[in-house]
Amino acid sequence: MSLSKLKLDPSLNGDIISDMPPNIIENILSRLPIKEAVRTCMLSKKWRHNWVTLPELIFSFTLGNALINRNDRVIKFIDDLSHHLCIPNTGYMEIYMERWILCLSRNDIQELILCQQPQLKHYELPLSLYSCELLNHLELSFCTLKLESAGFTFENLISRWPILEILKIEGLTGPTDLIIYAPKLKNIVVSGFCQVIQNICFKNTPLLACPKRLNQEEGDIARLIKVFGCFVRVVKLAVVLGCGFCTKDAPECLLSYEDFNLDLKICCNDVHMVSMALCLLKYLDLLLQAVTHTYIRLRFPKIRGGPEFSLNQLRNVKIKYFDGWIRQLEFIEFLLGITPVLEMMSINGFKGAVAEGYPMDGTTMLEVLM
Amino acid sequence: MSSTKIFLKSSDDKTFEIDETAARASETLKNIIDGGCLDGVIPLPNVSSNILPKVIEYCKKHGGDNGSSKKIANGGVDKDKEILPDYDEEEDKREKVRVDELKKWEEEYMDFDQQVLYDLMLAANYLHIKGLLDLTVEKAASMIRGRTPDQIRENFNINSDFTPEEEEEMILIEDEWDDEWAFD
Repeated sequence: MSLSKLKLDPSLNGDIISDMPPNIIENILSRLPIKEAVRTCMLSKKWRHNWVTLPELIFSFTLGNALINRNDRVIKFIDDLSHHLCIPNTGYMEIYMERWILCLSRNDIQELILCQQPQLKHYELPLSLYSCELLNHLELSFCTLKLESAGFTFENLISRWPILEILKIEGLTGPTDLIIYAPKLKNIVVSGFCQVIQNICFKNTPLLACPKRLNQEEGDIARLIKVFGCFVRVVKLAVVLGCGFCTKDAPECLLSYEDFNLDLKICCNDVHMVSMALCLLKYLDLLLQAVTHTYIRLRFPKIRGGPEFSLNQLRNVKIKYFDGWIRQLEFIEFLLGITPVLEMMSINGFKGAVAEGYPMDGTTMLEVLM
Repeated sequence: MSSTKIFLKSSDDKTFEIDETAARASETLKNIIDGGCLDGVIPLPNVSSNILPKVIEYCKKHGGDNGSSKKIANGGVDKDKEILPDYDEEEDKREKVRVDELKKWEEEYMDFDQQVLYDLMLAANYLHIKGLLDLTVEKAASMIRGRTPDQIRENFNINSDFTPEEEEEMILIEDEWDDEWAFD
């Protein structure tokens, strides 16, 4: 259908399109490239703000300068925006963000993504964020809280968002525990934790079934176990252990889920990590009614010392990326020794040539294992 | 399957006849039919007799077609046979012919003046005929896409009510955008 087909009717005097219902205007604009949709603000006063009803807007990094130079207009625009906003921080935009977020908070923003750069100074979250009560999706990276000393903690920040469903936090800093009260929370990703945070604790998160990822990069295992203790109906959990240390004190928490699925990734060839992993398994074993699945990935260093404990509930172990190195074999041997009720251990080889003679084929692997 | 007739009354009190299967292309009419509130004639106070036949024409073409590439059951064809999932070349060819034919039909159908475009758009919006709304809205979007504000104003008869100063300022902003916006 070409434009030439459209007959311009000389009898058509009025400007009809400008008075079309908002949903039609929005439909038309949504079919245009965003730049052209925005440009319609130049048509007439009626069109001036039509484009702001577009449901989604993403400021790309390349917009930096243009946005800053016309900040007064951006404010006007943000003032009308009420759905989703993604703001990347390019450093010099920081000074404007506070005002933008203020506008957003007045507009009941539902989705806010602040993508900061790790190398920059952590962005101080403005207080206006406390009043965004309709937020259901929030992603914050490399942020910190303003005025923590005055009692503005992350804890009471999150409790201001009663319908929050998705929360992604990366590299958040703050001197207090991260306590999450979020009755509607379904998904959480916590990564790049900073050591200043004492603890992470979930309270009142009944819908949280599969936390996407919890990276415990630093700190001791007891802290992690405490985190587990807060989950009410978690069925699947992925944990990435970093360098940490093992504590002697078993934290008091109760985990009793059926079909709990722990995906434990141990990514460092380091004895501390393995002891931490075992420590974790041990605690879980003490606390879990049934561990049906435990993945243990990657290489294991040599285990020193005899087993001091056994994993009495562990029934199913899956080891991925097995390549037959002696330390792995030792680990498997060790694991077999401490798991009296083990029903199944599946070992998957590592694909691709690793070294001469490795990976082993199934038969060799079996022989070695026997 | 012979279809029941439905009667639609336009805003200017003229009555039009449509098959029930065709009427179901409209979400609004479908709800009325399924709701069982059919009382002989369905009044459509927002659609005039000028545009209603055009809407009915679209519905007739698309009635029973749920927007997918499903075939429209022609009269006389055994329905059970049609559902059989044997894809032979013949079928593909027929499908292609059908799509081509539909495209050609759409092209002819969409050949109208702007007033009709707006009326159709509003009728499709009111009657919730998604396909027709898409078609008309896309046509309007194509009159904006890639055009300067002046061209767009001309296309739609829009009067710029900005003061010359505002206009000048906007041109400045636009230049800036062109320099700095790297969207596409």
